[in-house]
Amino acid sequence: MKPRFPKAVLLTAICLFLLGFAGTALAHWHHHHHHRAPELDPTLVGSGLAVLGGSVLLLIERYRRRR
Amino acid sequence: MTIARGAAEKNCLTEEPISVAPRGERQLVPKARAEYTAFGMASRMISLAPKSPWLVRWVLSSLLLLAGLFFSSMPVSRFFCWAEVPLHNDVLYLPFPTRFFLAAVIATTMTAALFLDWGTFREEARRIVTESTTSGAGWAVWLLLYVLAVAGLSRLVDPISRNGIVTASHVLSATILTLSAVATWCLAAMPARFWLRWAGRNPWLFPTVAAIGVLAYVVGAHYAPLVAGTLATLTDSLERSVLWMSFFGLRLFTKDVIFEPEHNLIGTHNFSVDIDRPCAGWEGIGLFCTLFGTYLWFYRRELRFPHVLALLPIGAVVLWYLNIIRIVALILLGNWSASIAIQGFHSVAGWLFFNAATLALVATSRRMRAFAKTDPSSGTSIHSNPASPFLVPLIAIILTAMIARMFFYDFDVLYPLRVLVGGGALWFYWRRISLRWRPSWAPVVLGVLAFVAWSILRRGPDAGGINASISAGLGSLSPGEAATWIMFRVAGAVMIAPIAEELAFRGYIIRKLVSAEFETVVPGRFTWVSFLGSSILFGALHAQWLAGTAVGMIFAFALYRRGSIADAMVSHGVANGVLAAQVLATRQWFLWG
Repeated sequence: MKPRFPKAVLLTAICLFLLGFAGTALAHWHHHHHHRAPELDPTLVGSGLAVLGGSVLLLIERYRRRR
Repeated sequence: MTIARGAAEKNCLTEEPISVAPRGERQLVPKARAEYTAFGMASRMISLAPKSPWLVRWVLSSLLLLAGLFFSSMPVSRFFCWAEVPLHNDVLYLPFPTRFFLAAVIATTMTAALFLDWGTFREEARRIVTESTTSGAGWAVWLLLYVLAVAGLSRLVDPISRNGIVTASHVLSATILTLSAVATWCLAAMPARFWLRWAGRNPWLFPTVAAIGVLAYVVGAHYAPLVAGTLATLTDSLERSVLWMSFFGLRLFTKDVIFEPEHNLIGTHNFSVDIDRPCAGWEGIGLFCTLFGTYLWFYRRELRFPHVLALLPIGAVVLWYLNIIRIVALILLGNWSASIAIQGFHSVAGWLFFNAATLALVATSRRMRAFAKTDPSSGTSIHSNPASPFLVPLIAIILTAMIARMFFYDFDVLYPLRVLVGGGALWFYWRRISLRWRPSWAPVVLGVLAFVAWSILRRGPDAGGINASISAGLGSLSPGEAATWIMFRVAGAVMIAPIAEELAFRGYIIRKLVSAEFETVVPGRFTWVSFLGSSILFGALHAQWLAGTAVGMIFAFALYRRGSIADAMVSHGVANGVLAAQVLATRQWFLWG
């Protein structure tokens, strides 16, 4: 199998960038959490991510290729 | 009975368990009545446990790798110290990594290797597993050597990082020990021929990965302090821009504006807010980039690159604007009711705006030909979408709860609305769900077991505070209204929530984690990934994540027993019912919190 380098490097760069960005965001998140920020209440975080995740899944299913 | 995969195109929710194992996954669908018992199920699950020596080898190696990385990343006094390397007539000072950096570099290198060539890695791993069994104790010896290398590295690096200056011999020893730890771990996890074959198929891989590791080290060692300083400057400017834009936005609605940029203060004479650094929108933008980037990665074959990458900065800008709108709306709302603005709107509006923006960008990536490889017009409608009956009821319930929380944050007087919305969604999709349940005591027993597990693992939040707010809330209602509220609360807990949550987690997610075409997967098909993944996600939905994960496993067990999602719903309803009885008997309202 021929290595598909340009795309792989591009995606790796994106992922590393995102990991870095996620680290920054999580550091802020952590800082905020320890100050009892109301928007980071665990119930609200769970609800927010569940609504987003569920809605994105609905969209993905809508456009999914079917055999 | 075995059927071809293609024959199971329709929704398999209500079908009897059918033995379908197209890709070698093992199935937990009982074939004999004896296996319907809890003991039979437990035996069968245990039989799926790591019999394979490969699994034992990988689990042990992974755990020790994680332990090594965790131990290596324990905080030390500084990121790096200076290594004193003698030259002919001079001394060269080089940055020398402390434990923190070694772990980061190794983790980066391994992640890069998997991202770069996951396909070959997977193929070679399967090949090794199919052509041989793992040999006796050879790998355990390598694992022991890895542990010794990590221990030696730790003893060597930690003391010298405190002194600040190390000698060339230390650098050499640390380098040898680091390489030894990496090499011995690789040989412990997989045989040498796996690594040789992988390197042979992709000769550029390991040099590239090594280069990425070195780059990560150089960037981290030399630019981390620089980046940390620059980041503060960047967040400051973002904070300033949000502050000024909020000021201009507020001026559009009112002349009564207080604005003190030197104190980050903005508002009106009635209500003003302090825009702190976290309020400047970093978290939302960072979370969006992370989640949207993950989406791009998973669906990269259906999206056009690099066009779709344009949506990342677009999303960041959209979220920045939405944050300004949120702040302006917060101040305007605060003029009317400070408590609703601070405790309700401030918490929930950010999530609603964030979800709306992210969802709109995901939809854009699917609907516009510039971004999507698939035909945008081929999408199904919301009514014919196979996932709608499973996901829409739960989404509707949670969304109603979030909106209600904006206005009633202490006591959710609008809880009946949540029940009506959820019930309406279930009624709308009921014909497509068409559940059939054959009576059995086992789901009831599992439900009681789930209640016990929840009670043991639950970690109480502010019990007194929740009790006081719900008691005060009920006290503010007339007796008839309070009784109606309690009736709806019990109906929601015992009927609506169990059906909606089980449809989402045991009807959709647990099958989606088996196959992308979830509707072709029969209920009760067991894989470890789907069992653990759906249970952990179920736990994450609840504030009590550990208790939630445990009861999620029990409800999954109820599903696997007969391949019937109705059993999982009954177990869930029974668990919530017993909890509701406890709440009503003891007036411990916080248990509903």
